[in-house]
Amino acid sequence: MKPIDYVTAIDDYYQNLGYPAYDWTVNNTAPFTPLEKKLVECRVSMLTSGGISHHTRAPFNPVAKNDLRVDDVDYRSDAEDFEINDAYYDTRGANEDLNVVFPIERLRELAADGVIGSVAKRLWSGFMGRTYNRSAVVEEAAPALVGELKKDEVDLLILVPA
Amino acid sequence: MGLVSRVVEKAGIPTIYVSTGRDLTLQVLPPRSIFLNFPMGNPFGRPHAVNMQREILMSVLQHAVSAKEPGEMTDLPYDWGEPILTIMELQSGWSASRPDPTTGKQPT
Repeated sequence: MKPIDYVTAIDDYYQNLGYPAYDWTVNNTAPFTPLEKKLVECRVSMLTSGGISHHTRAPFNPVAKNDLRVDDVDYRSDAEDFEINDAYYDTRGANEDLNVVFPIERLRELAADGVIGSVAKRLWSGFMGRTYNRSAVVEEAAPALVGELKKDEVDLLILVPA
Repeated sequence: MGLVSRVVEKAGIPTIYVSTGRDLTLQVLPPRSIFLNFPMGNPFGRPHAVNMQREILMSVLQHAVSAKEPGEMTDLPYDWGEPILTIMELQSGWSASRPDPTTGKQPT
């Protein structure tokens, strides 16, 4: 099956409602930092925007806009101790098994099996919902996360958008 | 999230982006990405399909090692096995983010 053309689907959706075209961010080049270490030496962290929250924290707003909240997630957390609140994707699978969007158990297994060096002590959940204030992400929230990743000496970050 | 990936990478930490929206990802262009033709937000496959989830995560990590070109995307060959519906087709989440009808601006 061909991948869904989301740009057209979303543009059509807004156009059918009589609204102006969505102002997409389009980049032709990307920054690049070579991964110098072998996987077995890497401390790996993970960030999802899937609206997952540990039961000890407040739930995310499922229809959030410009929500810059980023939760740290203890890497030892039980996959069943989370709830998911996000109206922008089909959460049925992830509600049944968190690993569908946030493979915390698989990541721990790969560390235990010596495929990766370790799982970082803190994983991350944030940037969920719709973000229209991109400068707040690029200039504030993302750099703040970088600071925390550096504290944890993270070698590689897996991002799982939703 | 693509923007976050770029900021983190630029700050010196390598990133790998697990995409379920191929065209969306190529527009914002994170430094490294891997594409799964699965429903949005379900990139590691089916619930409790442990072997498949593990296999996909392994591929994600391997692409993090092998990608050499900025913006490089790898497509994984998995098939969802049934038609994939967008959230606009599935439910009302998108209608909640309708722009203001008079100004056309997104609510903040």
